[in-house]
Amino acid sequence: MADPSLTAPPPAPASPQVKTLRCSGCGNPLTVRGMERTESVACEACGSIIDLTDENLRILSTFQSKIKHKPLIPLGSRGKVRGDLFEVIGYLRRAVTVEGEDFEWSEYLLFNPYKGFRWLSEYNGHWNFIKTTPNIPKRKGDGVKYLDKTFLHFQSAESRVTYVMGEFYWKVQAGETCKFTDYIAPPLILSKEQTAQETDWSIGEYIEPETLWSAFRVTSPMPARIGVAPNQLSPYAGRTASLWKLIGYLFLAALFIHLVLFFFSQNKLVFENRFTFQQKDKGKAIVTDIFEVSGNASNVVIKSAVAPLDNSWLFLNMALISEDGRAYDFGREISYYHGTEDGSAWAEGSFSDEATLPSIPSGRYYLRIEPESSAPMVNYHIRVYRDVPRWSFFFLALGALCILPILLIWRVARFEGKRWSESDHPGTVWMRIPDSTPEEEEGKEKPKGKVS
Amino acid sequence: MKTFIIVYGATVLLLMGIAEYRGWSLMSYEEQRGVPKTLRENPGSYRSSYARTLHK
Repeated sequence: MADPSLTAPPPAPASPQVKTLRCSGCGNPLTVRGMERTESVACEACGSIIDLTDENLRILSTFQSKIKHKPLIPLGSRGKVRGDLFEVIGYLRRAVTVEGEDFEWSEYLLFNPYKGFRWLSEYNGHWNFIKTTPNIPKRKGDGVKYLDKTFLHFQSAESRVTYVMGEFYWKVQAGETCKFTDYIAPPLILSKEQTAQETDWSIGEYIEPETLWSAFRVTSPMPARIGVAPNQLSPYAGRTASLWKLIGYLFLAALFIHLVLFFFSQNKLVFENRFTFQQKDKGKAIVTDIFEVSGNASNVVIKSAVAPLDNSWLFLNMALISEDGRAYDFGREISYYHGTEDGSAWAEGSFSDEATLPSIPSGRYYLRIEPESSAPMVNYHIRVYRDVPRWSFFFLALGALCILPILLIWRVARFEGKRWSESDHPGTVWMRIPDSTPEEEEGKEKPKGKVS
Repeated sequence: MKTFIIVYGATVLLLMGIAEYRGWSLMSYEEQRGVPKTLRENPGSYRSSYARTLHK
């Protein structure tokens, strides 16, 4: 069910209604745009925060900030965000201290007389469009459930106000602190802010800076985005399912191609004969009968088998020679050794061998064989096959394709690792990958938690 | 990423298809040309390039 507080009422033109008064600290002119809803205004010149609910415009506090921050979106800028016109009326800087290090971000208060207040927050070039919500999310584990979405706990800390400019709907104080807890379901972020007086929930949505720069017609350069924001949508969110499917299709295609080539291969025995080597024949070569090798250029497999060898070897200098004078030289050794060592039997080698000559064109061929052996006599058997299907390239292809899921997992993990590195849960990426966005599966509803 | 997966996957499949169709092999061999036809009558006149490198 959509959050009623997020449902946009009919748009109404907002004309700027501005009240001007003077700072009770320095006399600097102050502009109040939020009409009677503004309770305090900060003087840009002297840092005094004026209580507008007091008829004497008493000074609530004074900022002793040495650094004067300049808002990236100037106060008074007006722009349409999520379909509604807003004016920037306030700017403040907040900071948290984590392990002795300060992290600061900017918040811009936006106002529309019909819509009320909204916030823009900016940290490291990442922006969020935020509104407070009266609905209290339900607790779920260490996260919360809100708008049918599960928000994961991201971080809890205490922030303090370090700089203020413009006007605000509460009596903002220098150094004012609040405890906050952030929960994320990219691109949404839920924040719980607790002070001694009240607890507020707000929901924010990640917004592209280009959208804001164009909406508010900002001329200053856009700050570069650094790192990954807590609720930044992963570039892989909504796409991993289709990428996994694509990788699956590639595996299936590899199997299909392999099976087609496997079943259409000749795997034909083109020559077979038995031979005997004796020591008196050492150094003598023999040639086989001519055999026909047909079809497209493909492999020729020469399989050799010997009668049992006993602690000896047989080496075959072989050449597959075509009638037109091409020779493919190769040498193969078959050996078998066995024995007993320290009471246990051992054996190594085998009685057979297989040699594959690649891309042999069709034609008439014979084998020249020049055997050598350590045994006095060896019987051996030669068989020649044409176009023998091989599984090796299929498995190599599977191995090469396996790089893709590994790469995908690594890239997703790297992005999520960056996201969670600044959270209270670094190093727990796989347990805390946020819900996939609803776009992930086609046909499902779009996110309900749009901030309007 | 999708483009990369398609291009990479297609390349792998193409190479696998060519390798299987052409019967590629990693086996070491040497090709020689111009072997005389008289070799069949005198097999000893041809010296295999492997004969003197192994088991000499």
